[in-house]
Amino acid sequence: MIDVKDLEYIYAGTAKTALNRINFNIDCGEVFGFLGPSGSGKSTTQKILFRLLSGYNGSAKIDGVEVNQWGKKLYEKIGVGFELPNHYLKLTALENLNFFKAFYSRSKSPMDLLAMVGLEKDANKKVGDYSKGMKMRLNFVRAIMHDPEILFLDEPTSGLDPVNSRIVKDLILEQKKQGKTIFITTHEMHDADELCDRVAFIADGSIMALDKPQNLKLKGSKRMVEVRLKNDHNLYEFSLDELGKNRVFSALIERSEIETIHSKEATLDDIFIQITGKTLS
Amino acid sequence: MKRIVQLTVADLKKIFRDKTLLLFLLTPILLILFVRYFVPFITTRYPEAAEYHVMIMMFASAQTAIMFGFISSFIILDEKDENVLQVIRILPITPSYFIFFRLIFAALFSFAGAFSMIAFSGIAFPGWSFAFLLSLQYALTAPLITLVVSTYANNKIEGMAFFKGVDLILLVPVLSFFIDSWARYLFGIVPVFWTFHSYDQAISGNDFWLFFLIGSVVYIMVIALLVSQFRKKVFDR
Repeated sequence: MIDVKDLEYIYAGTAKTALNRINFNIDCGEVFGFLGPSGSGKSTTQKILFRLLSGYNGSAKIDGVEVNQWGKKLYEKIGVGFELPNHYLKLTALENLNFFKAFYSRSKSPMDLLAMVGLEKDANKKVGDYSKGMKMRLNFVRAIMHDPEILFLDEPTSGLDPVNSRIVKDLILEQKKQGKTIFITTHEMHDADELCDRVAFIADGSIMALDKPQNLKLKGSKRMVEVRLKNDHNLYEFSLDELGKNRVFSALIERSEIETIHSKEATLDDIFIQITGKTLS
Repeated sequence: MKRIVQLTVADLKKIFRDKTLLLFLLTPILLILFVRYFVPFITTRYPEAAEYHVMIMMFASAQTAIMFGFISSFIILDEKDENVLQVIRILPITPSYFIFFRLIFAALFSFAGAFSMIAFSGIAFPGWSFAFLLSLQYALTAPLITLVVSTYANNKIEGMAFFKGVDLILLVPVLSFFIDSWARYLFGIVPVFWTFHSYDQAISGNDFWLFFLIGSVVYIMVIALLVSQFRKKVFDR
């Protein structure tokens, strides 16, 4: 559905390459994540794909058509949720949605959309009086109001409290269930892990790794188990390979009371640091 | 049509919910009342003021017309501040649709304001045909102000400074009436110079069409240049 080949972008007036010949593709119905720190090129890639940036080198195609060849019909096909809330603050949420609804050939009912994200009681409140979490939920429903096939979500949970973050993630998972193709950028590794079928690590405009989150984690994990005993400050590590035959391990758990026991599986954050040498935050 | 109705309704709501914009919407009405009642009152006390009625009308009509340019530019600056322009850029409409709606919105209100001023102020009335034509040209000052302020100002504070500056520049051509040489045409780079002189000719001359046509060309050229700047700096796609 989305094919990117040797995509390169340099912002006008700068010498630095924002995107350095990146390659990836996103299949229909897939949730694909770009994981990287601020300034790594995540948003630039998305902006090229939804045509807020032009003048790129290489190829960026949606449904087999180069994005710079798409006309205004592209915007019936895609929905975009920006990182920062962007609404008419003097208008109410309902007025905002009714305004944008007028530009699409098809659209869901604004009140149904607001109800979907728990904002129906605040439908007639000016958006200027909304909290950031409410604005982000409004961002999300505006992005899906015309039932797009492809969703671009830029840092959808950034700066949200855990409750609102959960709401937004559930909404994304709901869209995934409906078979939408979703391209997320984030620097929240837990979100990428939970939401994405595949993730790409991006740093300094280059893709450093691309795989399923589970595969990436396994590649960088130590096949070890770590045991902490009650009333014992020492940590004991054992290889997971043939753990059942490990006599020391068996003896330890047989005669001592265990405080904690963990496999040493890496997080996406750990793997990101291993591969790129950078932190996500 | 549905889109134009939504855009218009939303813009009117934004104006009525913003005290500054509402004040600027009411200013033309106050200005018309001022010219209609205060200027004749002054003229009865100081009869020599009658000589300046045409000049007062040129000035007052321009002031009335540019208020709507200011309102329109501030709506766009709000859209810049609130990042809504990004969302507008990903709507299934061409960029021109949005730009021209805003310019026509400003120009229509501006036309109504200038026409009301010329028709109802009760002084220096050039006749209905000239009033109509002059109002058409005054209406073009609104897109001009809208484009200058919304393209070059980054926020509303800068917008206010730009507005004052542009307002002043647009009124400078009044000085051309006090210069009795070819040098007066140097003011011709400011489009409203041609409207002022068209007004003057409509009242007491024979060259109305010359000034009016040159003025129309100047307005269109300046607006076309500003539209391309707006598209490049604000709405590039």
